[in-house]
Amino acid sequence: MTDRPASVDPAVAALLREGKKRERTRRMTPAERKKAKKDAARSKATYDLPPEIIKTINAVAEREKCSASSVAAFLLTYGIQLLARGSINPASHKRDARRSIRFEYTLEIDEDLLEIVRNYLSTLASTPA
Amino acid sequence: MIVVTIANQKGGVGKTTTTVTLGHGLALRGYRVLLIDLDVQGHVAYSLGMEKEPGLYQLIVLEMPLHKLVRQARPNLWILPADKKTEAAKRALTSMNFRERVLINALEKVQGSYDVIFIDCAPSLDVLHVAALVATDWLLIPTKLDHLAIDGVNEILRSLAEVHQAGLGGQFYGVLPTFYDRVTTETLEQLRELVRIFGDKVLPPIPVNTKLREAPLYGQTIWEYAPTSRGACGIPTKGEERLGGYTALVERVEKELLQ
Repeated sequence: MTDRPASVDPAVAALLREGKKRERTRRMTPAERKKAKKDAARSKATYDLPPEIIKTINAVAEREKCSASSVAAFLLTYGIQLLARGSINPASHKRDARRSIRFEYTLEIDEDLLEIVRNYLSTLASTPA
Repeated sequence: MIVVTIANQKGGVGKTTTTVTLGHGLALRGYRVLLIDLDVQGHVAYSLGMEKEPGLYQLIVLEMPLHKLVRQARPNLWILPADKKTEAAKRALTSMNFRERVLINALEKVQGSYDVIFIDCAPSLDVLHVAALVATDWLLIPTKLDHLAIDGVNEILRSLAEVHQAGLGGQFYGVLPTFYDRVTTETLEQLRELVRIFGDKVLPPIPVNTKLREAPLYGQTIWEYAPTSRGACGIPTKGEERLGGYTALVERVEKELLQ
């Protein structure tokens, strides 16, 4: 009964992470706490993305001499615009999320679309800035 | 029909609150639910604004049929109430043959009348406790996050293992941490320890919430008294997501055990 079990419920894991963060904050000096608060106020999010999309964002950022965050924000804004216009429909990409107890569906990206991304990425790699 | 036993030999860990809240939550979703109170305190009836009655005593000692003893508490929700006479039922049981089968035999006669039956155990390890473990399909163990919590959980699991040795009893569904207080170090330490031992059997916790304590005073469940409280909806996070709480538990039990 003392062996470390393999998996943890995602909600429990999130609470443990949050608790660890609180513990860390408690141990900070006032100056460190102020800096941490400032950092936390920055608008940041972490998403899991296919590797070719990450590489493409980085390649575009390099070509345009700007940050990867600004390229991601730029492209996502255009994506949201397409969604708002009804030009793209997430419902048609829904697949059962069998391995998740938190979510019912995942949105699957068509292989054709990913192929376009890969082709564009190789174009970027072969074209000088 | 599935039978879920809610047990922990420690008192004040939220067994009755969990039984009543889970039961009513599923009843509100259209399932036919029966709650069986094995505790002399009779708090299941009290929590639902009903009178304590010697239902369990009448079932075991007077051998009255279960369907004549259940009381309707809410739409889709029935209870077999208990009161101090349950103590006499326990004494009577000790001299009976096949006493550990007393509940399973009674429940077999109402097969099909309910979708789910929750058995709320008393905070002790007695003959009724064993009878509940024999009758159950799933065992749910609510526990406070204090330093004695894990010992209490292990004790129940040892009882279940003994029942398994006799070829009876159901499966261990999970440990439900209750009274979760995110700001105390001890709560976090004990949650870590529970996870280290029981892994994904540790269910998302129920936050400490005054509304959960107040609801029985008005004979209401949390779904009636404070449906938007933390106890019902879970712990708010920086995003829109909420973690734990009874809504998550009801959804999980519905998805994993009933669908």
